[in-house]
Amino acid sequence: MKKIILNVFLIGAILSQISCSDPLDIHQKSQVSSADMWISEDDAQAAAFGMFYQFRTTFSTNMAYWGDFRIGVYNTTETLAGDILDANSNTIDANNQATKWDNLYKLINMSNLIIRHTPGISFNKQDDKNNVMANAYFVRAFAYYWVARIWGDAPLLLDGFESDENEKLFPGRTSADSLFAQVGEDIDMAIQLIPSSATDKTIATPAAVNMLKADYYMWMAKVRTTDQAKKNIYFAKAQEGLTQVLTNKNYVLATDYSQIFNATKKNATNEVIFTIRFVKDEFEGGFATNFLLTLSAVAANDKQYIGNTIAIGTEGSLAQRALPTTAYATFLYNNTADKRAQVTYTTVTYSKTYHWFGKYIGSWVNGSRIFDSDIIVYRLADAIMFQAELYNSTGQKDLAIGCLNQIAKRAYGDATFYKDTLNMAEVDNYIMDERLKEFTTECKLWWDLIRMGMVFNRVTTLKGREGEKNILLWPISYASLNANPNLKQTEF
Amino acid sequence: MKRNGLFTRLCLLLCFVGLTSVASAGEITGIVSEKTGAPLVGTTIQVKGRLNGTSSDIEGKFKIMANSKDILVISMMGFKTQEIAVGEQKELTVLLEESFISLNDVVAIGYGTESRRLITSSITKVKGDVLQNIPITTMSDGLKGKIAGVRVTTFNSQPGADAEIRIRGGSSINNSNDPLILVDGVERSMEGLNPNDVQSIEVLKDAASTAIYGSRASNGVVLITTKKGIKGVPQIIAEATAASQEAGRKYNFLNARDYLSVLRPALTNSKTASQLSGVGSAGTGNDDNSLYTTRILADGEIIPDGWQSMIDPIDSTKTLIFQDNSFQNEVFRKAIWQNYYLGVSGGNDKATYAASLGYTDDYGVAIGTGFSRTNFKLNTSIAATKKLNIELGVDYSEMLQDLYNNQRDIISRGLSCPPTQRMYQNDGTPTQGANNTSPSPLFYAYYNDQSKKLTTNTLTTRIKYDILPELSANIQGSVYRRNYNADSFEKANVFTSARITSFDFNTLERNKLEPFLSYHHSFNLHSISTIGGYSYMNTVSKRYNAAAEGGNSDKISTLNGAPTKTAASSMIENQTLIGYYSRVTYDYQKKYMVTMNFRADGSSLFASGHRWGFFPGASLGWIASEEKWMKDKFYAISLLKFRTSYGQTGNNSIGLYDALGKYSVDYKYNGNGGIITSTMPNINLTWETTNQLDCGVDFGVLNDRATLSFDYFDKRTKNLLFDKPLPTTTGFSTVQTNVGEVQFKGFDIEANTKNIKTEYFSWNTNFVFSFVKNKVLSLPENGNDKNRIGGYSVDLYGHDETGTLVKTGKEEFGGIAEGESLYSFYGYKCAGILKDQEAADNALYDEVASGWRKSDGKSIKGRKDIGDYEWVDRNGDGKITAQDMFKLGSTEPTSTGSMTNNFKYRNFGLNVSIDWALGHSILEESYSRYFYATFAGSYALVDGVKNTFSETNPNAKYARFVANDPNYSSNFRKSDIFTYKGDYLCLREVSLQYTLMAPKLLKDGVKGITLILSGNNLHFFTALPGALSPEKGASSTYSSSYYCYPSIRKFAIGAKINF
Repeated sequence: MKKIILNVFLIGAILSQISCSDPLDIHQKSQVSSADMWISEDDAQAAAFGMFYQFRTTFSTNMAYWGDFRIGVYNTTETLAGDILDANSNTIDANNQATKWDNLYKLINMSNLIIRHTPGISFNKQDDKNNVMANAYFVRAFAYYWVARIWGDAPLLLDGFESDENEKLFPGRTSADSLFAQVGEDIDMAIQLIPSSATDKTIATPAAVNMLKADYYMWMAKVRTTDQAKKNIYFAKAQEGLTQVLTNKNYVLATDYSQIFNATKKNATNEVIFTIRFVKDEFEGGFATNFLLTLSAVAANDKQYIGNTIAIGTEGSLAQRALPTTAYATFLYNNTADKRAQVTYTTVTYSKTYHWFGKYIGSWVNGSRIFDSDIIVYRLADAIMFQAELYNSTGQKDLAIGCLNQIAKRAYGDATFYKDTLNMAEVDNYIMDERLKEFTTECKLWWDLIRMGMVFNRVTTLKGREGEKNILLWPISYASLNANPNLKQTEF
Repeated sequence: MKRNGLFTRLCLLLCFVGLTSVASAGEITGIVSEKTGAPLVGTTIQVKGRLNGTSSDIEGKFKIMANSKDILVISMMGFKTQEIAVGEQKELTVLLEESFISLNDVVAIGYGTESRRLITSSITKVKGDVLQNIPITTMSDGLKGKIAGVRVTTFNSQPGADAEIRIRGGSSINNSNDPLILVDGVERSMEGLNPNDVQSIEVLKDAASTAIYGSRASNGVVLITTKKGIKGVPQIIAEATAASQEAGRKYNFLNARDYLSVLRPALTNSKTASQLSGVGSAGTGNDDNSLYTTRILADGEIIPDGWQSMIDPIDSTKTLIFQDNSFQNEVFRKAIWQNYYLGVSGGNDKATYAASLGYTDDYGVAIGTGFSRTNFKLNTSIAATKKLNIELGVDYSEMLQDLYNNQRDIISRGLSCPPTQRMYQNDGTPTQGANNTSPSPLFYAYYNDQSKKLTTNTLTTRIKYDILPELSANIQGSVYRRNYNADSFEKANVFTSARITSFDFNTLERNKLEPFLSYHHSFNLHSISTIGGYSYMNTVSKRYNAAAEGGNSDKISTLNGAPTKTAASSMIENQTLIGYYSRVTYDYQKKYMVTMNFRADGSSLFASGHRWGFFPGASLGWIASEEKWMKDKFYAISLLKFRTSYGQTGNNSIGLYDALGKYSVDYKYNGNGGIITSTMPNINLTWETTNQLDCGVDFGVLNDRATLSFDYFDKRTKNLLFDKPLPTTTGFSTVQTNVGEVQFKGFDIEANTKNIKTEYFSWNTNFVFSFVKNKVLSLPENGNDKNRIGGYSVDLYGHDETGTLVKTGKEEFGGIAEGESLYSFYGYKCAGILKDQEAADNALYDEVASGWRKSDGKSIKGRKDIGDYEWVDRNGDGKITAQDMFKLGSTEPTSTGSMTNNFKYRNFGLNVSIDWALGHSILEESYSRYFYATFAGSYALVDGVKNTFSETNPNAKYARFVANDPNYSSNFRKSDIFTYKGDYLCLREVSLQYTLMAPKLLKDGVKGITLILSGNNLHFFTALPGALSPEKGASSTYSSSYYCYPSIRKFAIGAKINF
């Protein structure tokens, strides 16, 4: 009996050894296992594009919650838009979809893994390697810059997770100061490494990195410190970034404001510096799906204008969840010469009046709305406005007015729209006004209002709430708190 | 020998040699009857060792040519086979003894068979008969409640969908709890099997019986054996059944008149009162081109044909006119179901065969759905030499399916079309519905062509060579192919004219080779059998997908007509399992039995060093009733058997990349291929192992006239494969790990009684009861209370001496934790309805309440209004937040059972089968949505809306009704208000059979005609309102993964002819 069993085993053993390797070692053809990753140059390059895919996922919808919806100028006609409503009224709770940082940290993890593994991979060209590394530092800086401004103190993770045996699996909150310091270091690394040949505006370029630098140091100077010596250092750093951008001849203001946002002619203007690319069938959607009318909102007689002059959204099937308040709409249209108003907030009237935020509506193809508008993160107008703000903050009011008039010239066709007679406070006020008109729905205004120190007097739902603790921060989502006992909710 | 034409043609068709006459001494006649004297029709009478045979006619009579040295073998299903030496007899009278209960059957066990009497482990066998005479499409539908310890649940009533099977509750936390299913030794699902082809189903429940399947056996094993040929004259069965089917349950929607009476006054009190005169289901701004019909009757206008009118409930000077359309009645139609089957079997000493053709067609109750299946099957066995036996099995099935990609969108949301909605445009095309993810189902069916085709192909070969009389060598090999082919096309419509077309093609190729030796030897009073073998199985799955759009015509629905290619992808996955196994069975005097078995399995799913697992099992049995003292003293006890078993099995159902980790390559950024982290690796990952103890008793009295089986089991699974939730900061949501230990314990009871047995009347009862409870025994130390993983972490508050609110501690609940059971779901508990202004003003701050009040027109976050629900503040912080949840129920029942009664009176037979399940709950979120008139007030309403709070109805069950409720997120959060107990009793099957005995019809070889009237899923007794089936527990019926196809009631008529 034993012999028989032994024989069976023998047969089995032989069968299993027929091939020279273990038949249980199977190399899968369709996905990359952890063991097969981080070997060649291609892995690192693909990881960098994967990181930008994740970048797009992270910001496509939430960028508006974090950068825009809190400025209190939104009317929402739909009960279903509770999260937008709460952001708009600054009564945010930990259920709000934008309190989730999952995607930001997934993005950070991707950048951490690239920073960790790329140095060990050999590349044909050093520039390519530097480019991958520069992009990873750029993205990490960008992500932590947003994390620190949204939540304040937050986990600072720099190693990348590759198994659950990691001492930082359950991190506590690191001070916002440390987070901001890390952002500064990462920006420096990105600037050092980014090859001057990098021109793809959908990922990092020298100008994009310098814009982030300017943005970051403006914030540091005006929000994170009261010490004048430090402010001066930060303004100088911001100026370094701005100078790099403003002296770069590749970037010029578009003559026609509406062309900047034309989804079908991506980057047709040289104004765009850094953009999150949306492509039909690759990735569509984003926060703009909240802006458009539905089919049922269009009167039967006006259906012939759909896709022609009336923009409706079909994809995502959201009803129009965000409109400007009457006050904001009036503000946008208060100068009849302003060429931006109709682009920003489009209005048409047939048997009734229809209106919608018009910048990111994508394209209309075969009776379907394709939300394929890029989200423009930085464009030259932003650099010019930063320059205006920096000049005004450093006592160079007239230069600031000069910058402001560059924007005014395109908007109103008047290169001397703002006069030298304005005082510094007035200039600051007009900078904010112009930002509110120039960058409507571009997810910057919340940060601008904080940085300009105007958030409590310009945001109606924040008036008189200066005393509320951490009122400008977001709570941590319940899901994150439940999954990590070391996290403590922000005190409000 | 006279045969009818059909028979001859079938014989030719199947290429089997007909029977040949044998020259012999003389004609023997005889009559076969039961002990009661009733003649037995269709008994097989064969001359032993020869080819010829016959069968008994309607009077039990037969004629056969035989000589005096021959031995006649008389056999029939359900009776003990008799052998009679012919001798000088010319006329025989044969009395066949009924083999009362199947205890003397042979039962399939892994890699062999065993006498049922000697089985020492827990195996239940049911015969294919239980699947007969009832209008079922899939075999799983016919098994509900019929097997102790096995819960069969329909979670999707879509035509052709297989039910979910759980044996003893499963074994795992969040890995598969599906049992291993082998059809004639081939790993596959029940998909594509024709219930008519099934000979028997054996369910292996305890570890001693399943350990031979090692790493895949923890959830039990189902062995399905298809019909094999039996020596004898060809037996031909032709069967045809037609059924009428309908939704067994429906929602009680308001008709148009009630709808307007409720909704229009509600709109006046809502935030959106402008809708009263606007375009909408209850608005009056509609015209002939609007989606909705409601409008005001103009002066002098005549009410259009088929329209209704009523006085406007908010303005008695006006008359509303509208259509009253029931979308539910259009969506859930009466549909035809039909089934045809032709089976031929027979054989001789050299070869046996069983062949069948089957066709089932289900038109689908929900519009645009349907299913059809064609089956071909052949099983042959050839005795090539005395020592060499060859078996070949071929099985082919082809299924065509029309189904919704997302039942939630088309059914749950589609039924939201209000009664005043126009059903068709003036040009006859269906109207669209609220939006493209809530289309009118008629619209969806009209504009979408979805055809899915599934083919399965199985080839099995088994070669058996007897090296010695006791020792045989076997090789069995099988190939299983599954091809799935889906074409989808959306015609240009109002939502999109892109004409999106897509194509999916998936293949699964599974090859298996299993050589094994088997040995059997009896000497004196000892008997020993053993097997040992090797198994190699490789599975390759390939998936192809392409999509395109932009075609200029609805005429072309394939990719070639669509210029813009939007997707093209292929995927290949490969896995291998290698196993070594052995079993030794020994008995002494057929009284004392012992069995030991083991399997060693290696799987490519795990990382090197963690691939091999070892799974042993052992069982003991003692048939006490065989002891002399028992026989003497307790002669009425025909069987008393004690058995016990213990063993270990595994569960390897992890994903392909769970151990090795995955970077996903399917991402693009700006046209560049991108790689993203997708699965966190865990190279230490290994099997989940289950230890199971089983103690059982089999008991029979009065020659097994009443039998009872009882099994107690205790299953403990450790190293549970678990999706451990990770903090969101890791960039991963979970990691697959081995954690802790969980216990499933309970008992199974199965009882059969022959209550009445007379010459003309008999009554049998079969009773099945199962009970299973689960509990988490241990989890890795993680510092949390009860080492809880996942769930909610809550700060508790109380008031100190000064009356200020302070934190008093921390509480955790949900997720999984030591000492708690699995499958719970959580939500809010209602503390009552706020009945007056004071109560509303003093209500707790509610984080998700928008706080809109009609009285001041303001939305103040967190506040409540009269008629809103107040929720229970679990943590005492004076606010209602996400931390105030409670356990609302469990999705899994604790006990299930069934009772089947079988009556026979002369030529009539009646089967009645009921089953039940207790202990699960259902959160009917879809139902709750028919309460809040969302979609700008144009959502259908159920009649529960009449029982909502108002000043005149202060004791209502539900909160106040507000059109397009701004407070919906508070009032309609997941709560006990819409959570129902899923306990049900189902009148599952009733079938009445009449066997035609008119001799004229029975000429020309017809042995019998049976007419059948039957019904399936006739009625559910349950507290759950609405259309959904209470069979499956759910934490939300509105989840896109929940199947909301209604349960289907069928009434069938059929005929079965035996040749």
